[in-house]
Amino acid sequence: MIYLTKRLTFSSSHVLMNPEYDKAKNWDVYGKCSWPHGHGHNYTLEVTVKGEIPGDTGMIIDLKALKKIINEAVVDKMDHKFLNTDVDFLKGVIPTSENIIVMIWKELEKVLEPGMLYELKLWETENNWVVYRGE
Amino acid sequence: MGNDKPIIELFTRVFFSAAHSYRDRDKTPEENREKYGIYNRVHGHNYEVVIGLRGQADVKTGMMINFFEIEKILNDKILSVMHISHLEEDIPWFNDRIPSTENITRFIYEQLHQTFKFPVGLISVEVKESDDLGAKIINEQCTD
Repeated sequence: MIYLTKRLTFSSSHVLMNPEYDKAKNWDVYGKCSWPHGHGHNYTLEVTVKGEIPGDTGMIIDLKALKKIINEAVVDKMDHKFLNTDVDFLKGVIPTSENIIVMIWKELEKVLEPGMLYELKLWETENNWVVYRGE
Repeated sequence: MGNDKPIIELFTRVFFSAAHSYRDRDKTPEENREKYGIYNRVHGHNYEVVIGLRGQADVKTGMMINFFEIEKILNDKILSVMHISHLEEDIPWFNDRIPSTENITRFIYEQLHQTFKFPVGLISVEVKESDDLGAKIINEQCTD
């Protein structure tokens, strides 16, 4: 079994606030991330897929094809967008790193071969990141 | 797959700078120089620390734990103690231990192990004293 990782980057804005909370509670829970004008991050996404190496091509997936799939399914939809309102698969979701990575997983599962997706890593900054394996 | 209560792993990286030297307190300076070589000299590193947590995001907040909260814990328990310190002189835990990368990792793990409770668990502590040398403790018990 081989694990193959593709890294992509995107830049997006978001604001962390729960519409059920008032301003004070949002400040208490999310701090400066709840500032209503929003703020931005340079995100890095690593997608790891797994598979056996086929004898004919020697590739578990063509990296160009993988890049195209990930860009079309998630990255192009999020790059230079406001994550709270502009992304169909994030509608109704507070765009924390934890929520974003789970929603990216759900989108990629739809477009990759069943069982191929192994792990996602999403860096919000160089010092803060999340990992999800579909558990 | 994909799950109603997804298990997330969350990592935070912080840095501190500290001095140390390797020596056994019951040995003479000559014996220590002989045993530890250049590591017997007082010298310093810019340490990189990566803390790994595992748990579920709160349905209401969308967060497992706020990054700011982790930063505060790490500031209070680790950085305020270790940053700009001479490890074996300033921190009692190191008085009778060699301040190796392994022991530094163990010290940080012990400080944080009890801090993160269910539903958030500490899964790993990794410390690098340079790009070329690091140590890691993995909490095998933390599966949820």
